[in-house]
Amino acid sequence: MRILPSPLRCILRIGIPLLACPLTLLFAVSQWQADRYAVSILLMTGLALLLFLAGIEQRSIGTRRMILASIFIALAIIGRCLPIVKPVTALIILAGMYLGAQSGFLVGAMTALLSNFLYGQGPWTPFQMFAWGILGLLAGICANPLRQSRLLLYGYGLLSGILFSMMMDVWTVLWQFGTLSPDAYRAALLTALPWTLVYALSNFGFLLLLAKPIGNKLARIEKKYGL
Amino acid sequence: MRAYGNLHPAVTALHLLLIAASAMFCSDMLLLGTLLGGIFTYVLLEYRDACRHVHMFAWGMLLLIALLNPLWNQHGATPLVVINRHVVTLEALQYGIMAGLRTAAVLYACALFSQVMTKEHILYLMRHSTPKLALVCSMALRYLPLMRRRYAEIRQAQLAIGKISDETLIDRITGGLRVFSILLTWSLEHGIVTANSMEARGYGIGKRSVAQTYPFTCDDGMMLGGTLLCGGWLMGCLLTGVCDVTYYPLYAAAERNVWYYGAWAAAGLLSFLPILFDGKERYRWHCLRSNI
Repeated sequence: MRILPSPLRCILRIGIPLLACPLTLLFAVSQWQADRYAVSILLMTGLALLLFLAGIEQRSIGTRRMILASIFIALAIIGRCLPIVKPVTALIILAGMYLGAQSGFLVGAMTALLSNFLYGQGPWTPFQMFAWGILGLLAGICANPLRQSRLLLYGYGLLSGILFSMMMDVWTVLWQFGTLSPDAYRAALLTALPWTLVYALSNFGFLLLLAKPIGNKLARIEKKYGL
Repeated sequence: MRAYGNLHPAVTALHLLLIAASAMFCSDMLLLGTLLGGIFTYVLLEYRDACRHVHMFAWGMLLLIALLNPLWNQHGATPLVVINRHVVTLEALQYGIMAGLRTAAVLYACALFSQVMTKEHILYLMRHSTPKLALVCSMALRYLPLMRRRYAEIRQAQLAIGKISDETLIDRITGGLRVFSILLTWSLEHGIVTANSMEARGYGIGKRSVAQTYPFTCDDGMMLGGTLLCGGWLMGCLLTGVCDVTYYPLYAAAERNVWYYGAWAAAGLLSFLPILFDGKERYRWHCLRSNI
């Protein structure tokens, strides 16, 4: 599938890394007081998301991959409705592993965006999009070892629960206290500890349940139709 | 009648983003209070029932942050009380109240954003800028009801041929997993079929046109002008530091000059624009009705 280049996306692709990011950083460092770290980090996250999404528009990701990604997004949104233990991250990891790094990021970011229509949009939405997107992207980059070793996959599931919690805590601390002091961050990590454990264990459990059936089905689709 | 909610999606999105952004950049309690006041009044007037859950959350966060900050933060020069060798300072309390107001204002702006900007609005905006992403999102949203229907269908069929039962809890869990597995196979296969038929009908060849479901009217132009004027002025004042407040070690308010009051007026206008706009529409409706 060929996508014609659009001037807007070209501007985004060239303008953000070359102009917008350095200017935001320079402005943030020189002009703003320390309590605006949260805003500058939010801006940078938004820019990174824009850049990545413009890249997805530019490259040919393939109609089949796009539709499989949207199926995974729908499954993850439904999964987020389960009480307490949620298979969202597990599904994003599987999508990244079998559909590629780019689609993994897409599934993570769009799951956060669309499911927040049900759970409430807020300043945390870009961070959730980024955190889940990065987890999917990493799973896609490490696809080969993760596919070969089940143990590694479960380990990545546990780790991604902890990573997600840590990334979101950076945001919590920045938003509430203005600066990222080690004490406040440690306190936030401690208060979030039960949730971190729930995330990590539910990722582990759902990967244990889903990795084999979903993996087999996707491998079959890959073999039968080619992606 | 919700005139503000019927505006062009780009105008509403810009207006609410500008309010949220200026609240994030602002460190002055009066400006933040004005922004919060405008949005809160509009939410109360138009979306009281839909935003019921937001009130508790936003005001709870305000209280929590205002009370937590002095307990965590030891900066500040004016001690109020000493609890267990921990000094609670006036400046930390003031900073906490400011951060709480900021959080509440951003939360209300976001709540209003999710009420006014429905999925159709967002998809409309994305269709212009990122057509592939818009397609992925709208397909994902379309799969939600479809999958529920398919799940019920598969479950009934499996129950009827006796492959699953729902007598005990373990039966129900294994049955659910079996149905989920079948649902997944069905969805993936069907997805490939959809992709093939899309490509067969020429998806991805050449430029795609976009239907104009939201025309840009005179009202949109007026709202856009007002938003850009007030928002630009306010952001300009905030970014150049006219309204900067120092909290630590001693509280020093922004200098009360023409620029400051200008920024205050812009913040008031920006956050009360929806109410003014709806008022105008109400008046127009009233005039039209009495003439008939």
